[in-house]
Amino acid sequence: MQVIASIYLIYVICLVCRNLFVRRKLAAPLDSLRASHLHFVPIGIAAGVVLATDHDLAAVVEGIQRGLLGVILVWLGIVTGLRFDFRRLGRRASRHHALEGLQVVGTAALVFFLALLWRPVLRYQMGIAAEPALVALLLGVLACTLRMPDRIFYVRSVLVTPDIDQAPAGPLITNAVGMTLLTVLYPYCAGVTVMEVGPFTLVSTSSFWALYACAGILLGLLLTFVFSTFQEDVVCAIIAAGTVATFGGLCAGKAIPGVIVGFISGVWFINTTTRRRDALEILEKITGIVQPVFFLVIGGLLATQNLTVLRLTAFAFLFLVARSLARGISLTVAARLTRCYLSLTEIIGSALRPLGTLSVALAAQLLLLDSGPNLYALIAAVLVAAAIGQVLPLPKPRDVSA
Amino acid sequence: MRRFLICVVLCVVVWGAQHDFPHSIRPVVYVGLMLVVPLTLAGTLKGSGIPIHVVPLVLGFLASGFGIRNTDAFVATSPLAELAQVWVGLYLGASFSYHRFFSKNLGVVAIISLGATLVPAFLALFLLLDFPVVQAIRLGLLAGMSGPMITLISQPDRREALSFSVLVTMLGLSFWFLADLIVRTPGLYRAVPCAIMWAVGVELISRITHTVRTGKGGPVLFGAIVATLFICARAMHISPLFLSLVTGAGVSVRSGRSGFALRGMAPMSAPLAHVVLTYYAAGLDFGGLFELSALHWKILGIYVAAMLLGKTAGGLSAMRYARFYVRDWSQLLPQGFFVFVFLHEVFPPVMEPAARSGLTAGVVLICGVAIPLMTSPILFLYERMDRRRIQDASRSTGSEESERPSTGGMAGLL
Repeated sequence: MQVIASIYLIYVICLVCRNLFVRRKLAAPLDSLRASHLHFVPIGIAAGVVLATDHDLAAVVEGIQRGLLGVILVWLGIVTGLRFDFRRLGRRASRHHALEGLQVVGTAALVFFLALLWRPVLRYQMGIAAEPALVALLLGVLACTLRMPDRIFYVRSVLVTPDIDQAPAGPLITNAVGMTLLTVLYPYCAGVTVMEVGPFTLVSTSSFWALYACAGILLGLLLTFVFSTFQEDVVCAIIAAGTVATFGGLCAGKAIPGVIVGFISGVWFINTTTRRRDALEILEKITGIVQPVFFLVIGGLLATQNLTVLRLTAFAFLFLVARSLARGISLTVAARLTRCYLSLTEIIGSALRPLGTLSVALAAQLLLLDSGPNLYALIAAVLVAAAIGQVLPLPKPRDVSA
Repeated sequence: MRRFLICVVLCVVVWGAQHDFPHSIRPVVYVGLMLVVPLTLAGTLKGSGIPIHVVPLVLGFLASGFGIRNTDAFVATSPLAELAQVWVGLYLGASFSYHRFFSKNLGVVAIISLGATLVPAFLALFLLLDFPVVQAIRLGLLAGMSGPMITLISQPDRREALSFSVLVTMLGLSFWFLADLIVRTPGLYRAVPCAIMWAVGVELISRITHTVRTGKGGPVLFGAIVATLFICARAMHISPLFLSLVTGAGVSVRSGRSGFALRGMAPMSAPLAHVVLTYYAAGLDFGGLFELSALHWKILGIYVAAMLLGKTAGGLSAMRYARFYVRDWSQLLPQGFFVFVFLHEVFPPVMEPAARSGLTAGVVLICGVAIPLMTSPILFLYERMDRRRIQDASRSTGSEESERPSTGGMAGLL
């Protein structure tokens, strides 16, 4: 009863907040935060603080939150995979893809090695004692991910969605390449040597890859079947959500990275379905609900943790600076290699592009993969970094009149 | 084939999840299964002539019998199932047509149907089996109720059938709670402020729904009303489905012909009804069915016979007074949801729990699955004969017209 009453209270607060935000014309930085649904984090924290007063209730709610998180991570993986549509990629020049891919790989590599160097900072200042290579990999990959759909604003201007299909440094495949890197490197960095799945015992890297690929393709296949078998939108949405919930539970229960499974299934689905447009519309509608719920859950999980705000903010700044430098350097090198001309404003603009929901999801994935202490600190730091990145205006290029 | 593949894969995943998954994760997996399997398999029966509501019931029995149902997950997800039933109940109540109620004498027909079931059931149980009066009346009322959720699944396009089913069930439930309040005299005084609060709530909801203008506003408002009703039902210890059903009907009547915004929630309500039926059918214990004694089988026989007798009488009167089709009134016959919820409470306290569970399972199996499966071909044959009779009649009328002598000239053209 208390759980339901609390959920109801949160629902009402969300409605009121949403109405307040929607009806008022906000300044561009606040509008940027609103577009990313980051304003749901404080609501989640408030709800978590209220629920934490009763220990039994808090235990029940934490179980629900972890279960929900497992499902949402798979869903966000699917949404990322949906952007890896080969037909859409063909519309842009291949050297632009090369430019973007090299930038992502360079950024991930630089931040990965920096994160390995930061190991003492992470362990002794932040208290994160998870597998160092895994943390470094996640930080490296989330450093190269961006907010999608890409929303930017320049100095003294409003929030706009640029046309990423045409711009040379537009982030068309950034998140997908980042996720591919994670998929390839995760079994090496996870530190898992043996995994029991039903009657099977998996002991090698290739068998882990096979497991993730099988789970992802199976989910993608089921989603394809769902959308080809059922014509009604509501039924499709319910069955798709139920299928993802089942696989999300499977991933969370077996410590399988749900984001990776979701990503593989999303890529499979978008490149094999015959109802591409309908499916994208339906999935986008569901994502509109999933993203606020994700930030509410994250807020609720952070509410009960004892975190030092100053250290978190300092780490978030450090991470942002390192990320921007890595993105800028790798883009400059990639532009030289692919012989694309980019102005300094464009390079700075690309380097400062903000983190998005996927970035926070990658940090949250660590919570379901590793049981080390103080993993919440990393999530909170990434949230702060995302919020800071989203309120920073980008330098205006010469050809932009907005 | 694709549907079966989806179901088999998910069932294997859930079956595997029973053993070595953390407790906090199991409900998520269970909810996923409950959302997918009934809806997926129900689609296969569309157009086959078999009532679709049989699918969720049978799936629930299978989940219970083959160990797919996990007790922890089942208990943990019960608030969600109750929320879903409030959603469906509110929609069912809202779909109750006030206009049809007055224009077609539906109220009289519903009372005839309920009375024709209540009287024989009460007399048989009270005189033959020495049931206490209250229990006999309750069992008779329960037999008289229908399954609007089942009608919503099987015949979603037949508005008359849905309205009739909702009306008969609401009448039965109202008498049920009235009898309950009369037996517990202090409850009668407590009910007055509750009734006033309910009336104020109905007025508020109807006023708020009039202000909804946007497409997104409907679902958001519906969600808020569902949550409010759920909390009220829990706080007042009333069946959530009953409260939502009555509230939906109240708001529908209050809004009158001007329309009621909540009726637009139809696409979401029918799938949720599948989920609710599967969930509660999975909670039944079929082991008890094999432990029933001769006395229990007698009770079951009386219940089923009174139900068939009363509802057939009600249906025939509906054909006579309200010009109902056979397919519309035959939707009164199957029973589902309220049997799951209330049948346990009806039996005398001396009856052991295993027998109660067995009787509940037996009633659901007979009234929810067996009778609809038997009536379906009968209805098909009846409709075919009726169609043929109409065709013959129109053919003979046509031949008479062709044999009629032509008037000739311009008169024939005119």
